[in-house]
Amino acid sequence: MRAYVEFAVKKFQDKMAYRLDFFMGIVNTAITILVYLCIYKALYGDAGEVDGISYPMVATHFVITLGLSNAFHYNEMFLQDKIRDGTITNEFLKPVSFILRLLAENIGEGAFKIIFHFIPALLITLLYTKLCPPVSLLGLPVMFCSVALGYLILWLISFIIQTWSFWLFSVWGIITIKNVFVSILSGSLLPLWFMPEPLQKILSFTPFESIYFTPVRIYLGELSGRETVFALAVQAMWVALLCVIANMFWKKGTKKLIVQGG
Amino acid sequence: MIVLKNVCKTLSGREVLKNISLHIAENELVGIIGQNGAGKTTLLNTITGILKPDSGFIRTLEKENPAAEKRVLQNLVYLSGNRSQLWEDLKIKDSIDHCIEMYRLDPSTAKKRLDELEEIFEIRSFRNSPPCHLSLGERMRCELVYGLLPQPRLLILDEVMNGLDFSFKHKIMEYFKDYGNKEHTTILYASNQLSEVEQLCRRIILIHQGSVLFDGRTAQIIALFSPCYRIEAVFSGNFPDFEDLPLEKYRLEGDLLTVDYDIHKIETVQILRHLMEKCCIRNIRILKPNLEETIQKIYGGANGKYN
Repeated sequence: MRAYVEFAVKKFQDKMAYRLDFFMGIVNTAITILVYLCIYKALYGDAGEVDGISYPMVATHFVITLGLSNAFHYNEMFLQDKIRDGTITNEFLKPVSFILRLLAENIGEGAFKIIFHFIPALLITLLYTKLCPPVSLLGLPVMFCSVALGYLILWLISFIIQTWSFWLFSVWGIITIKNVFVSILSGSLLPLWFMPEPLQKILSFTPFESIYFTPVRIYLGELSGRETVFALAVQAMWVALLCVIANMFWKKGTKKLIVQGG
Repeated sequence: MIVLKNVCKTLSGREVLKNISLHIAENELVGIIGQNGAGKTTLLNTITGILKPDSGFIRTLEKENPAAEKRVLQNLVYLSGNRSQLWEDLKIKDSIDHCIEMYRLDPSTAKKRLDELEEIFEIRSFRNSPPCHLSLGERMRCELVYGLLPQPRLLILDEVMNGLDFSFKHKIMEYFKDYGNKEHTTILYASNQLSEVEQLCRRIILIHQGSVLFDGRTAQIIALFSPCYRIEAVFSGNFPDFEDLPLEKYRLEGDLLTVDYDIHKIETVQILRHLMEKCCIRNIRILKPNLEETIQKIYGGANGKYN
């Protein structure tokens, strides 16, 4: 376990090595958020509420989803590059699990970006607009759990597609398409509240809703106690299901590698 | 330590390993040589369990599938001259700290050992630099420390002298010579620098087109495949008569006489005695064939042309 914590810590340090990246990350996150806030401010105009959703709620939604999605962005070509240049064999000979190591590194990077990109960008945003305060103090830790589960869902979807590089020469295109799908269907472009009713129904049966939307609703206090527990259970269910699928692809892929030599 | 029995492996339609059987004992230091594409790396990958043989049997570190068990991998280090283990953007000391965590080394023992290794490989001064600020040879020395720190039972070294200058090569070679017995480590040393292998390894395995062409003592392969020695003598006086000696060939250029002979047919002393009797020798040099010449000869033979 300590070795994996160390992986996360090292990746965190690794990120610290680049000062320009650090400042650009803040600017990038702040601009993405502010652009959306401007658009929605204009769209709202003088209207207090649209579909029962007020502007501060939308603003809060975007700060959380865009801030997190920027923070949760990492190099998704890692596995493909390792397979292509053959250094994947190096990884297999390390006395640690490759999957957990990758997860630890990505979490380390995510933690770095949340602390050094998201939080400063959040402060900048607060200068510009008012956001909804957390509904209760208890809500915050529950929301953090939900964010963590959302992250795992996002990570597992990405990992599953990354494992396809055992069979495909390039997964870049698929990853790009996936990212578009995730940003639309998880509500980071258009909040799911404003999606047509049937689409919302369909999305509630997919993992996308669980990525950012569930944490946002918990933060805003849209869910009752029982609904919150149910939402967390749904997230956990998706994590478990995606774990099984990811493991299946990984096993098949590594088997192909040791039999056919990649 | 390592057992391979009738191992065959075909990769993308090419038979890379053909019926290879090997036995490598504990604490042995074995050189693995072969031309490009002979199957060296495939063989090493098969030994580590990263590649599964199509048929045949492997057993490394008492396991048939060593790469599948993390506990076994703590005793196996594969260092390669062209695949870095170090973290690209981190300081060397952070990479090494991480190695200590990953291999679950005891901190105080690891610290002591690191001190020793830093001394031998002279890397202490670049502790605080990331690998990208170091030269190839400096980086390689750090890689070696990184790989030696966990004291693995099986150490695979693949072209690890890349970029090292002469004095370091020499120093590191001396270090490895009795490393196996001192640290209870089996070393597989793959390299294209035959002079290194000749100096370092008592046993060599020569891979050619996927098969083991030779497996045995280094001295033996030389004696077996290139028994020709050469005497170069600077002499004055009359040209001696060699008619009655079983020599391969002899040549005279100015006052330099070159004699090639097969040590199985005639002993060196006999020729020397003959020379001393027949003419006045001012200077003499006896040349032993080295591994490189021998291997060249073998390939010449194997490819159907003698040089």
